[in-house]
Amino acid sequence: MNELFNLAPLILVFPIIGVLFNGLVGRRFVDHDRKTGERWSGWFATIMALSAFVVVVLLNLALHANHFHAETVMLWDWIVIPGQGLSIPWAMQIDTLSVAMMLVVTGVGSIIHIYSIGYMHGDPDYSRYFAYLNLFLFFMLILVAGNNYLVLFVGWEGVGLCSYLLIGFWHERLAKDGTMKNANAARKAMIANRVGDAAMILGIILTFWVFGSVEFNHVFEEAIHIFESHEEMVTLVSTNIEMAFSTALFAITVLFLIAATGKSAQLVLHVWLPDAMAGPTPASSLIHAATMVTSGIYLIVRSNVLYELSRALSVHSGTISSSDIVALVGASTALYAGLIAFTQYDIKKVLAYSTVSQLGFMIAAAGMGAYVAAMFHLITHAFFKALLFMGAGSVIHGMEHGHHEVAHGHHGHDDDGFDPQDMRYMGGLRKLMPVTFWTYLVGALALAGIFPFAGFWSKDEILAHANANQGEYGLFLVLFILLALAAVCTAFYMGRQLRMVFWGQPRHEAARHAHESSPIMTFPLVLLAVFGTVAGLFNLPKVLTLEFGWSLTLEHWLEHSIQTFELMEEGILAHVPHTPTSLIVEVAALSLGLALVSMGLAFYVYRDKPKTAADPDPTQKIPGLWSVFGRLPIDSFYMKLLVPWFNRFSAWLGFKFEWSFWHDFFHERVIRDTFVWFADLSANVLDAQGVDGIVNGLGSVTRWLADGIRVSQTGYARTYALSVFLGTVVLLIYFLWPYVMR
Amino acid sequence: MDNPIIVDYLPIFMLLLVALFFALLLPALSLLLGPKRSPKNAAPHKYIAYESGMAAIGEAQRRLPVKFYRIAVLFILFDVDIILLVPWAVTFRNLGFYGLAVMGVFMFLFILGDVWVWKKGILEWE
Amino acid sequence: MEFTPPEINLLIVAPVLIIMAAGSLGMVIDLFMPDGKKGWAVWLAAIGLLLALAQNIALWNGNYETFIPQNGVAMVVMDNFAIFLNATFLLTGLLVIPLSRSYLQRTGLEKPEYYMLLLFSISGMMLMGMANDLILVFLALEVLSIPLYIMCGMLWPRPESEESAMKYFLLGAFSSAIFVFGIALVYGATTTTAIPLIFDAVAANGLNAMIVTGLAFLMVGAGFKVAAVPFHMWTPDVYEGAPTPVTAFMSVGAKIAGFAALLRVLMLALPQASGEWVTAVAVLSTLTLIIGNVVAIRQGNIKRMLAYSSIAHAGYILIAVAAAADNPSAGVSSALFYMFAYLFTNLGAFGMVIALERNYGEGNLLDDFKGLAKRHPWLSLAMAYFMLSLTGIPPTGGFSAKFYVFGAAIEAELYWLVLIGVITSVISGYYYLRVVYLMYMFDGEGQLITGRALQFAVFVMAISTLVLGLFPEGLFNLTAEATLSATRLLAGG
Repeated sequence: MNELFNLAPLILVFPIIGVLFNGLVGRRFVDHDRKTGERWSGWFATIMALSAFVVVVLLNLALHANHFHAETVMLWDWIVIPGQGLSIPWAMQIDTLSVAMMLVVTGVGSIIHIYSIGYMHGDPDYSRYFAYLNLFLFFMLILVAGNNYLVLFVGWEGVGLCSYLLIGFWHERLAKDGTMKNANAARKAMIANRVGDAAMILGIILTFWVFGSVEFNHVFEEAIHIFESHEEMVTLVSTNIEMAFSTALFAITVLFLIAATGKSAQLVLHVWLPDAMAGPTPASSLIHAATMVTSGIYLIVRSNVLYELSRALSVHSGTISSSDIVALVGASTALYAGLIAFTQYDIKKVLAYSTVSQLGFMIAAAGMGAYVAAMFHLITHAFFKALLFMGAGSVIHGMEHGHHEVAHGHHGHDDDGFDPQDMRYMGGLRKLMPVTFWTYLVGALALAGIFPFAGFWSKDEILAHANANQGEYGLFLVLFILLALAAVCTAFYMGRQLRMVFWGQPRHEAARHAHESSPIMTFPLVLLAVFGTVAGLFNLPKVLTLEFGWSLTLEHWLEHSIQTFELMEEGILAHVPHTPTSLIVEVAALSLGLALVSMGLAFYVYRDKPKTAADPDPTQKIPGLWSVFGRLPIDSFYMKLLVPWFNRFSAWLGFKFEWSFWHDFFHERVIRDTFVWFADLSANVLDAQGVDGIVNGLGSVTRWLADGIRVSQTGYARTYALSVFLGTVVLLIYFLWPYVMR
Repeated sequence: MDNPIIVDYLPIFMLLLVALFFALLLPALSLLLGPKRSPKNAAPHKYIAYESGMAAIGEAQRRLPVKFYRIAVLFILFDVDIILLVPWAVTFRNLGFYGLAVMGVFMFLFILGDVWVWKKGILEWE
Repeated sequence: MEFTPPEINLLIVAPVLIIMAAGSLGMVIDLFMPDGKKGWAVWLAAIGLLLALAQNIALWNGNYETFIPQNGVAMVVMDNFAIFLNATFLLTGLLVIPLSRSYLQRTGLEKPEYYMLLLFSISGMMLMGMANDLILVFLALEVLSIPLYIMCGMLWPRPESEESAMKYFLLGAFSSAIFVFGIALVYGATTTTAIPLIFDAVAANGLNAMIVTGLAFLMVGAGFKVAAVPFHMWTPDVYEGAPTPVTAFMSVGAKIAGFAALLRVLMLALPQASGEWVTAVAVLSTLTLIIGNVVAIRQGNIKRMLAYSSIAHAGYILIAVAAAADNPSAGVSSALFYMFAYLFTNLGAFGMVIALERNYGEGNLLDDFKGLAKRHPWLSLAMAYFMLSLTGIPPTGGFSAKFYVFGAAIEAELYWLVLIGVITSVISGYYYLRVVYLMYMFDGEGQLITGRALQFAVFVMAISTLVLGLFPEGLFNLTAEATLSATRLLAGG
């Protein structure tokens, strides 16, 4: 094992130092001297993130030196129950998959730290923000580095907590109608995630029951072993329960899918992500676009063996496999969220739905078995979506400053319902914020899948996979159509956004006075724009069966962590290298053409509309789009139907069942009255007449005895001596009695 | 031991019985044989304490100054000192240096005590 | 006949020598000090005790013997048993000093002699722990008793104090006589006073009437010192009349020394007679437990109450002694543990009594405790805690001690004795907790007179009691080691 692997724990140590610094003393620094304090607080956190990044790069090198073989870094035994076979170590798995994730997390994370230094400037809770950000890095790295499901779950819950904390970062801010918008958004995220997390823990328990371990390697080896030995039934650990292997596998994988839908905002648990935009924009960009929301994809890719086996088993039995469900969920989400994005005015909400949609792409790819494509899209998406969010943050920042200037200039601020995030108030920002514009343009083109930006390559690989395999499974045609439509939607709403924000005339005074953000914010934008442009190089596909020097890097990198199987006769698996996807020229041309047309259409539709902030959106004329998707059907279902009924049910439980029945009737009548009756009986009958008599009797005997003995305490020394003498005599008699009697 | 212990002590018990017998016998004899006079008619001087022919002076339960006792206690201490010193002196040669050392320590402490007694004024009579 | 001097190593007996030297030195210094200066005596005594304690601990695990005459059997042994007891006595002295100072000033008793007598008495107690010869046991008994007689009467011309000293002296002399008579009888039967040789003689020739008669007399002498019923009657009068710090010292030091003598005689000299003495000890224990606890209920004077309480505690230790007949290691070590825990708890309680006593004999009633909790919350809490410990409620040293003693007795199958012990413990709760009840539930005028030294000592004792309650293992291991090194002699090692 390479020495460098021993550095692995450092990736957790650095962020936690940052948390401690900012959590414990950061605030004092900031309060003491705003300027230097912010510098200390922000840069300390950033340096911690960068240090973690450097360590991850070293781990990367170590893997190279190790010929890509995975290494497990044992830290300590965590949960050990001897005799029950339960032994869960706290260990870090350093393999190509986890390191790829770590690179994204720490790399994008570091850039966002730098950006935050500028963005959060002046915020009263400056150091708290950075403490949360470092805490998030800490948990996210636990999530991706753990070598078993339980450690992964620790990170999973930890990032959920950080997400909650950051969404509710400005929890005291109220919406215009007085609701606690931000706090509610945080709670919504927490509750939606709870559903997924419950499934996650059930899945982990079931995994342990079936395979006797929660460590990735053991689970996968055991699963392949069971599969290859044709055992129909498995006995659950520590029980006598037997379970069909296919059922167990199906249950585990579906439970993990539900977990992923919670964390990665898929149908039907996606509702929290758009609301999560209430948090600070850099946090949204890091957590709710680039990293945390991709942990669902990571979970599925990590469990690829289980999903592949499920697929293999279902081919046997001819039923739908859990991987197919994964793909369907992902593809539907991709299209559904893409359509909703049409109807949003909030610049961040559009991006949020776009994130949901892109996550759908990744999930669909994972479900189709295109794990590398999923990871590839995950990485490129991390770059350009972070870029877009930060660009949006820059725009919002500019709008706020513009608004501030206007209000300041007029010396009388009238509330005209201005919202710095509303695209209807923007327009023509291209000239005023050139750096933001150009970088945003790169991000938007990458997202829309325009050649040669990163998104083109990764999205195309997913589409190509759906297309290439459609002969094998009939389902893949449906998936291909859904995903292609989602891609068209993506291009359209991004065109709409670009047109509304950067072209045309300013539709508000604030937009007229907006100006470019400070270099500390634009520098990360430029950096990410470069990545957004060239990230496609990570995994250039084969073109016409030719391989170039740069191509398929990620493919080769990840094939050491991802196993692919081919079903042989009698259900024996063959381990085959992951099939690299080659560029299918027709598919690429089709998707590029559709994207260009769709974007052009958007520019045409919004060429001069809306003219003022109050104008209706042109797409409102399309029947069904705004009336169905604009109303957020699933949100509405939850809020109008599920939540009221749930509230009614809990009110019934609380007032009727708990209070009236359980408390009033059961406790008061049944328990209390019985108890009182018994206590009455004991006190007045048993105790007063029975026990008290005895006790009082004992008491008086004791007192009488005490008085009697006290009388013998005459105070005369001669009495005392007599007592000694008599005692001696009695002792002597006792001791000598046997001798006298002999 | 074949006999119970009580057999060994039989002579003592017999002696006790004889003593008890005589103790009771002699007063009884004097009662029987002596002239019978009631105490009221007896001469008063018969009830006076007999002090070697001297007339009794004062009460028997008289309080004495504590300095008598102090001197008496000191006398006992010196007595004990002598009791230890005399046998020591007899075998002085036999005990050798060890004997000398031990008695030296003892005498040192004893004299220290004397000094203390002296300084505290215990020897002052008035 | 050629005389050979005994082997003497003064370093081994250095703890005792330091105490005696400090005492003698104090007497001499006193002669040359002006009358006004009195503080030096406290420091001299404390330093002497600390030095002795240090030297004592340094000897741990040494198993030294010294004063070995021609017959080869040492008169003084410094085994772990002796060292543990010595440490107990030295700690007692160290804790009594801070309790005494302000009381002595209040009652006009502040004389250097007080501290010097304390030291002499402690040296006697230590000698008791180290004695391996009945003559030495008797000598130690006298050396520890005589200073106590004087200390009891130090508050002359107050009649209660004089009465206390007089009664203690008379009865003490009476019991000493019985004790020395017991020694003589044992000597007569075995022709030796060395404890190991007595053991050997009994092993060789068996028991006879003379030995058991001697045993009975020895038990009476020791029983008097520990205040076991029916040799206890002096206790309440003497405890009540003596200056309170002296009472505190007596109730702990003299009692432990008495048990040291009893354990030496019963466990080391005559363990083969255990069939004879175990029932006697158990009966004494029963009587002591019942009478001590029952009579304590009706006492209105806290010093008398604590006197009966100390009688009762002798009963509990006697349970351990009885258990030692069957199970020497558990019995003796639990007795040692009990005495050590009792030292802190009882001195702590007496510390509060001292603080409450405005002047000699004033403020000694139970009623004076009324309302103390409001004015002195911390000290009242400590007092309540000591009372809980004396009752034997966890987590206190008293509980741990009772736990070990009852455990040893159960191992020795003395179930009825344990039953009596438990029942009397419950009875004892009545009078101990009444103090707590009076302190917390009533209003009163009681006022504590406390100096920093007293507060510190009470604090130390409360903490020690707590530590013994929570982590008794460490000390119990020490007592087990001490027992092991003493019973090593039994095994002929």
